[in-house]
Amino acid sequence: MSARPAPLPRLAAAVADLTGAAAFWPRAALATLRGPPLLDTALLTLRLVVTSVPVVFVVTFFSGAMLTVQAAASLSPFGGGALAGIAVGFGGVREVFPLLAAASVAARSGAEIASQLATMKATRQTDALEVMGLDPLRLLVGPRMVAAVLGTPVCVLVGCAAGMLGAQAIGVWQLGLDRGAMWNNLWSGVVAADLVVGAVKGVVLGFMLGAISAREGLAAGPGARGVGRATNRAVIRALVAVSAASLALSSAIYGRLA
Amino acid sequence: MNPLALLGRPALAVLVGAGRVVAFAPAAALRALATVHGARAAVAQAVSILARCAAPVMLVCGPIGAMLALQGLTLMRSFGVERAIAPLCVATIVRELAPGFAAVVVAMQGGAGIAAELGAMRVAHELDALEVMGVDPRAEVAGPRIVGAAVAAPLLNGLAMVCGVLGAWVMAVPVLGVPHTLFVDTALDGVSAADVWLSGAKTVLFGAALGAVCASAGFFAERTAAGVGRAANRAVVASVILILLLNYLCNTAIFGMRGGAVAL
Amino acid sequence: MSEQRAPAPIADEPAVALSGVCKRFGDREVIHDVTLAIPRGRITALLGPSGSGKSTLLGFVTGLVRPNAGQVRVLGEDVFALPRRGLLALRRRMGMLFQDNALFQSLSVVDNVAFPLLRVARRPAPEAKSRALALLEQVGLGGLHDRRPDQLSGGQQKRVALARALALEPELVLFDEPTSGLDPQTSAAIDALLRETQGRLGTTFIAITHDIVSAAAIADHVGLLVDGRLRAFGTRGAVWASTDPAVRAFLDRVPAGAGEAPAAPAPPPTGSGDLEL
Repeated sequence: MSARPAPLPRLAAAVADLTGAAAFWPRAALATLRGPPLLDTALLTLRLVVTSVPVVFVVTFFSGAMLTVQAAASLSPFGGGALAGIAVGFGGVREVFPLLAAASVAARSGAEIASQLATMKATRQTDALEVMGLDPLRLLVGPRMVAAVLGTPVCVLVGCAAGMLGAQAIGVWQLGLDRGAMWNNLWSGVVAADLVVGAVKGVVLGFMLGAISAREGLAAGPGARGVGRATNRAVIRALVAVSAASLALSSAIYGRLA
Repeated sequence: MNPLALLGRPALAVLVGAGRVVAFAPAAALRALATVHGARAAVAQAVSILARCAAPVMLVCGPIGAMLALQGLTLMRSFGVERAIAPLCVATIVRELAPGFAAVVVAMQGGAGIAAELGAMRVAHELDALEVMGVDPRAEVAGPRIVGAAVAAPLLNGLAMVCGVLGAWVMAVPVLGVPHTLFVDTALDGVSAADVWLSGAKTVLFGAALGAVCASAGFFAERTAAGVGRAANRAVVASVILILLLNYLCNTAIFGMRGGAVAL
Repeated sequence: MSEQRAPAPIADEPAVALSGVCKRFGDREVIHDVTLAIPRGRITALLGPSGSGKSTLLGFVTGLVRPNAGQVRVLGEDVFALPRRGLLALRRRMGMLFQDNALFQSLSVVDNVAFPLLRVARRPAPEAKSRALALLEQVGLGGLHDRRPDQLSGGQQKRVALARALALEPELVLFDEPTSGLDPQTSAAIDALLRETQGRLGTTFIAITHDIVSAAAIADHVGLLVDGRLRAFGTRGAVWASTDPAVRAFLDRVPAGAGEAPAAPAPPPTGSGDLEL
C-alpha cells in the first residue's frame, strides 16, 4: 500500500492500458478471420452456449419476474396488470433481457476466457507457442472470438424467452392474472424485428465481450495474482462496454423510430 | 453417465458451496466486527470498494437510465401517457435498476476482486502464514471484506440512482424533447422516502451476500493460478444469480405476494 | 563455527517429538509410522526427495495437518490434544518460513515484519516499526524497508521472511525448503545467514529440504525421509557415514529404485542439489 504511485503516472498508465485494449480489437477481429482451428472453435462455441445458457436463463427469468412484480405495483394507477405485461414484454425484449443476457455471458464465459488465457500466459504456454512459431492469436483467441460472436446471440434469444417465461409465471401464479391475456400482453408490444435486433445486438456485444476478455487474459500479470486480476478486469470492463454499446445500438435503431 | 447424475452433480456442488458460505461467512464477518482493528479494516475495505466501483457504476447506470427513458417514452407515447415519463423512470430506477445494477457492478468489480485477492493469498500461502502466526485469517482477511461490501453497496446504490436519473433526463429532455420543467416537477411523484430506504436496505443485503460468496470462493480456492481464475469466475456468476434471486424475493416481500395486482 | 555457539538449553523434552505418526491422503499413505525426537537449540534438517512426505511432517508441527495415528509433541505440548486457543498460543511460540515466503503482498517490507508484532503481540506501532527495522538490519536488508515484496529478489524475500519469522522471538523456527528456487550463490548466502542467526540466538531451527548441499552446510542433525519412512536420523556426521543402502542411494544421488540403471555418478556442476525423483 505504501508504494502506491503518484496520480499523474497512474493516469498515464490507465491511458496507455486503454489504448492497448483498443488496439487489440482489430487484431482480435483479424484473428477471427484468419481461419481459427475448426475443432477447437466448434467445441468452444458449444461450451460457451452450454455453460452460459443456464446462467442466462436464471438471471433473465428472475429479472422478468422482478420487473413484473414492480411494474404491476407502479403501473397500478394506469390500469395495472395489463399495462405491466405490455411494458415488461416491450422493455424486456428490447433492452433488459439482451443486456442481462450479455452481462451473464460476460460473467460466465468472458471471465472464463480471460482466466484461461491468463493461466496460459502465467504458465508460459503462450510463450511456448510463439517459440514454436505458432500464433497464439490465431490458435487461442480466434476460436474464442468466434464462440463469443456465435454464442452470445443464442444466449440473447434464450434470455428473451426466459424473461418472458419469468414474467408469465409470476403474472399468473403470484399476481393472479389471466393466463392467456398475460401472454398476449407480454408479446403485444414485440415485433419479429425486435428479436432480429436482439440477435444483432448479441453479435456486437459478443464480439466486444470476447475481445475484452481475451485481451485482459493475454495482458495478465505473473502468477495467481495476475490471473485473478485479469479475470476481475475482464468482467467489469466487459460489463461497462456492453451496457454502453447496448444503449448506443438502441438509440441508433429505436431512437429514430421514437 | 445417467441424466440424473448429470443434473445431480451441479446441484450437489451448489448445495456444498452454499453450505460452505453459510458456515464460513457470517462467523468471519462477526469476528472481524468484534475487534477495533477488524472494524477499521472493514472501513478501509469499504473505501477501497467505493473507489474501485464508483466509475463503473456511473458508466453502467447512466446508459441504463437513458435506455429506460428511451423505451419508456416510446411505449408511453403510444398510450398517450408520456407526461408520466419522469415518475415512471425515477421510480423504476430507485426501486429496481439502481440497486440491481449497483449490486451487479459491485459483484463484478469488488466481488471478483475479493475472490481474486483471497485466492492469490491462498496460493502464496499468505493465509497459512497468518494461521501459523496464530492470527485467524477469517477475521483478519475475509471478514473485513464481507462487511466492506455490505457498507459500500448502499452508497454505490445512491450514486447509481443519481446517475440513472441523470441518464434518463439526458435522453428525455435534450434528446427526445420532454419539457424540462415537466420532468423536474413530476420527477419525485412516483417515489417516497420509504422507497429510497428500502432500496438502500436491499443493497446492504446484496452487498453482504455477494461479499460472503466471493470471500468464500477466494478463501477456498485451489492452490493454482488456474484455480484462482476459476474462483473469481465462479464467484461472479454465483453473486449475480444470488442478487437477482434476492431482488425478486425482496420485491415479493415488499409489495406483498399479490401486491401489484391489488388495484385490478 | 559451532564452538562459538551458545550452549544448547538443557531440556528434558525435545523441541519436537513424533511417535508412531501415520498419515494417509485417500488411500495413499504419505507418512508411515514415523518416530523421532528433534533436539532443542540445534539446526535439524529433514532431507528427502520431492514427494517423500517432508511437507506433511511440517504440517504436523504447525497443526495444519492432522495425522491419522500417533502423537505430535511440540515444545512440550501435545499439538492435537490442544483446544484451538491453546494451539494458537503454541503457534505464537513458533516462526515459520514458507517455501514461497508467503509475504503479504499488500504490505511493505517493514510492515510485513511489523505485522506479527502489531497483530499478535499487540505492541504499539512505533515500537513495532523500530523493532522491525532492527530485524531487517540483522538479516542484511537495511534500507529496503519501504519496498513492496514483489520488488525484491528471491534471496531478499527470503531474508524478509526470516525477519518476520523471528519477530516474536520464537522458541522454534520452521523452514520449508529454504533454498528452493534460489541460485547456488544465493543459497549459500541464505545457508550462512541461517547458521549465523541460529548461532546468535540459540533457537531451535528445523528445515525440510531436498537440497543435500544446503543440509550439509547448515544441519547439526539430519533425518532422511524416503517414501514416507524415516530411513535415518542422527548427527550429520553419523548420517553422512551411514552404510544403509537407502540412505546411500539418496546421498550419493542415485535415484531410488533405479539401481539397475547406470546412475549419474557426479553431482551437476551447479551443485544446487536439486534432486527431482
